[in-house]
Amino acid sequence: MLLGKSLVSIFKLLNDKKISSKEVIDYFLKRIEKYNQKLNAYLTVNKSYKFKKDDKLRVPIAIKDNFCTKNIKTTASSKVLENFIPPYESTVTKRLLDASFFILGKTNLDAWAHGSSTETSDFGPTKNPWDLSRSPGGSSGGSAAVVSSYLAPAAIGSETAGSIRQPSAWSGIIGLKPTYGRVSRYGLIAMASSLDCPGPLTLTTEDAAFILKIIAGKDKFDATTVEFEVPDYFSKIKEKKKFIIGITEEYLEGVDDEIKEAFYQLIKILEKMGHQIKKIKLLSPKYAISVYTVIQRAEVSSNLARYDGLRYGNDRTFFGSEAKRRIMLGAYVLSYGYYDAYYKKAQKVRTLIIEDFKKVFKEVDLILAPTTPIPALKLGEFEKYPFFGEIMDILAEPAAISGICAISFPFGLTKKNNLPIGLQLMGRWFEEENILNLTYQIEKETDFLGVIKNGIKNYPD
Amino acid sequence: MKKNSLTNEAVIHLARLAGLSLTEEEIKKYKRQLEETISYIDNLNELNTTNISPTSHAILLTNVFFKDGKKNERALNLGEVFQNTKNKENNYFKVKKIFDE
Amino acid sequence: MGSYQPIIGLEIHVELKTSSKMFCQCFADYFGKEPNTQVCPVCLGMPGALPVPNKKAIEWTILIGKALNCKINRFSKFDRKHYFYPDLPKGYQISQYDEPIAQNGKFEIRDSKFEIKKTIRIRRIHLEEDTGKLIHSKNGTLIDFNRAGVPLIEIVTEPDFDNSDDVKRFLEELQVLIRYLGISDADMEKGTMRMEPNISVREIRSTKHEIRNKSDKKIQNTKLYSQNNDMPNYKVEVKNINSFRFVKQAIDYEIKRQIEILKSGKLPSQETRGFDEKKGITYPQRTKEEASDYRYFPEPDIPPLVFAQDYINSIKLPELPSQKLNRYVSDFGIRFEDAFILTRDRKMSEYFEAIISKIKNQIAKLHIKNQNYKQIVANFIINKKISTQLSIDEFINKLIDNLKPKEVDRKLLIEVIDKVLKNNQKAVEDYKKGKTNAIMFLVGQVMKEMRGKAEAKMVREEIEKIINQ
Repeated sequence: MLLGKSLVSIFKLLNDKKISSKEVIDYFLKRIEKYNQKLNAYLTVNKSYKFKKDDKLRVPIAIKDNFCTKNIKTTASSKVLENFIPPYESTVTKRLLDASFFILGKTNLDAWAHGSSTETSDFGPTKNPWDLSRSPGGSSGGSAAVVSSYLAPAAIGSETAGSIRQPSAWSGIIGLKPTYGRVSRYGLIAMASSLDCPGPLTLTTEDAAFILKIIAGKDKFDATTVEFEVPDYFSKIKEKKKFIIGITEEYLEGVDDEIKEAFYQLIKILEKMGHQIKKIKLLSPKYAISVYTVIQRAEVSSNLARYDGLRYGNDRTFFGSEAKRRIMLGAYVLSYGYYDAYYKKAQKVRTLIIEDFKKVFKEVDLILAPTTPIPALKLGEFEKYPFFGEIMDILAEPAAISGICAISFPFGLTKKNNLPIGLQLMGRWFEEENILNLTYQIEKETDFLGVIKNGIKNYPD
Repeated sequence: MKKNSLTNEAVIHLARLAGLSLTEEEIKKYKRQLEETISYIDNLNELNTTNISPTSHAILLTNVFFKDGKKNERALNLGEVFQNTKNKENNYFKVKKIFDE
Repeated sequence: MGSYQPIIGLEIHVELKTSSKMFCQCFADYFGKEPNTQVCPVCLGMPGALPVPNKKAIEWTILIGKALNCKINRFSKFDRKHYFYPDLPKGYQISQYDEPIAQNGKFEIRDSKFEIKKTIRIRRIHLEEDTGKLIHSKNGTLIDFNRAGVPLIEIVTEPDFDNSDDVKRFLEELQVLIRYLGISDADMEKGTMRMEPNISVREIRSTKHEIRNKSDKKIQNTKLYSQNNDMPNYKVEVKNINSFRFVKQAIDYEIKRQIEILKSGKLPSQETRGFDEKKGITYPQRTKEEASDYRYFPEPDIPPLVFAQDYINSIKLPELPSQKLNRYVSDFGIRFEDAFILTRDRKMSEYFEAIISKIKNQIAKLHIKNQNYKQIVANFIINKKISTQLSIDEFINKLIDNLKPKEVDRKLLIEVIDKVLKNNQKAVEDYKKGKTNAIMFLVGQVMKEMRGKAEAKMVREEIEKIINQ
């Protein structure tokens, strides 16, 4: 019985010939048939798998619909690209295909990855598998919902400022944002070029490590990827290491009481496990929001300039209102007379934030914090919040701005509404093995308080 | 005029720079939203950044190039070039006639 | 009293002849290729595509920077320049804004004696990508992106010119230099070299500033252009000039036009004008709506460029045309005019040097006594007496052959002379009477009969001998 099996265990079953690729893929296709309409997690389902007798072993994975997949429709959830069929493959999906993966389908997102709720998708919002009246988070909401309801054993998302971690927290699964430059962006429909990071959403830490090893590494088609060797994350997470973990008051301001409670609970457990907890001081995350807002809007308005309907897609009248707003603000902060006041200033504050982290990481190995201030919001509630709810990303943005790596994992449910609580670990640049290692330890020690197992129970075969 | 308030003309100008055409209603809506955002991001001025240099690239990479003459692995054939094109003519992309140079 | 001084600056674009485009591996040589057959997701501006810069294009920019005596910036970067136009796939051009690769150089215009006439300051040289090509059809505009992404160097001069002849000289010399470096064909007709002059005119009021040593012409001519009045507050950019010949025409027309306006008491408008080749005039172009706000910001997809001094030093200039010319004149003793012609083309000069190097050991075979063999080789090349398509050895052999004193069949010669003298008695009589020129006619007749197998000097000697017998 496949239900709830991790990616790595499915690989094992296939390798041991206990099951065939066809069976695995058919299994997920059946589940998608059963649940996707309700969740609206997949925009495109890939039924093209041809079952040849001597075909290679293929494991299914879901891909966020802002990765260009050759000959599979790719829309970025926008009507501008509603019929776009890329004639080329992104590097991330190419590496996955070369490693025996099968693209099960393309998942829903906030249009152009602008947002934290998946409600700005031009093709309807995705529902949170834990509560269909709520948002799964965003922008990788579709990928998070797919994994949380086991419509794929794992998924790929992208993060600019919380877009992997926040939906992972709200949907009760694991989401990893690698260091900027660790994974290639070639073929990822650009949002904010200096911030975008592709990363995995998974049910187990092993799966995240496994996928990261495959997709990470220098790409000659992306000048912003680094040459550093890719460690064998899969084996590194099993090393018995003890860490110095930083915690800070700044990241607890305005956080829901139940989430704080879970946070303190975990701290006790970590101390018992032999790790050291240390209080640290960090710049308030509110500055990161401003930095992010300026830089992201500027880069977005620039990156969306190519969509004129001339060579492909529809023209600019097909942009949704959120996209239009961001493009306008981006034009504003870059425009004559404002560049120094906004863009350059934001880049300088960015330097301050980076220096802040560098300083703190001299004292600690990792930083523990809640992933989001509150659990999943109801659909439609976002409009009440500034930046259409991006304020939800406040705890995720400092890591995004500085480029460091971070991972979100579930840790219990709220008693109030039975919603997943997400906590995150932030690590030094290019030290993904540390945050993965500790997450693995927590997983082994607590099973994340049963969240993932229980989530899937709501979606029987 | 307050620094954070925008005129309608400013909004229309921005829209033009950004290649967008807005309705009257949208101009009003975006004006408000832009002003709101601009107010928030003013908190950047709370931090002292004299003598701080801006960071364009969070990861300190420099000098990334490719060697001239390498094989082109990404060449597209004509079918691929035009598979998403709405208006073409004889293997050219086509657009409404442009009059100025 | 109105005396007018034109103020002209140039913006020159040179397409590099790298193998690959600037930010992707598509072929850069697009001339004559079927439309949209040299494109990829990057140069088509497709979703998710990213630029990676071409190392050679950067090196060649440093090379031309050095050749134009520029300072090569240790830190440089690319920036995005935003505007919408159908030939610009990304909605922005990757260019360089405030940290170009090279700055503050100079280039000298020389007169016909190769003396430095004027020094033109180079403001900056930067690297960017070319756009696609637009073709106007009956009911629309067609776009070919084969050219999109080809590396383009932009050279901007200070407004140091004040006449069209200097501009033409400058462009011609610049073209020779660029071709010498082997970085571009720099052909105005093919579009691998493009230029746009910025022209204004100002009235010279009676000036307090006198040039000292007016009598010392040399000082006067080599002085950098000095501003003794304010710069005019307008300038006119002229586009669509496709050859050096038209450059002169366009500039002269425009200067005249602006002077007329100034004379009438008005100020010419700041605008962009096109050049009509057929009519030889400039005309106003539809102005773009408002001053462009390009919203430059550093290109986030490309890490900055940091050039170590060692690296900059390692990019070595070949011997430049002016250096070579001096060497030919002073070291080789070649006549200036001939050295000038030889050094216009690098391949030609290399060919020449290869020949004179190889032929050093065989000078005796040339039978030239005390003449300068290098000059002789130069003559043969310039006068096209021997084809330069031949290999070095073939050329040398032909040269030796050409310079060999011709061996004559004496018996035949005497026979022919006798025949000619017999048939041309009048000429013989004339000669005997003292008309020495008559012999030239006889020599000519004999040469004709001998079909070039005899040398004129020798024939004349023989004829004289026989007549005077």
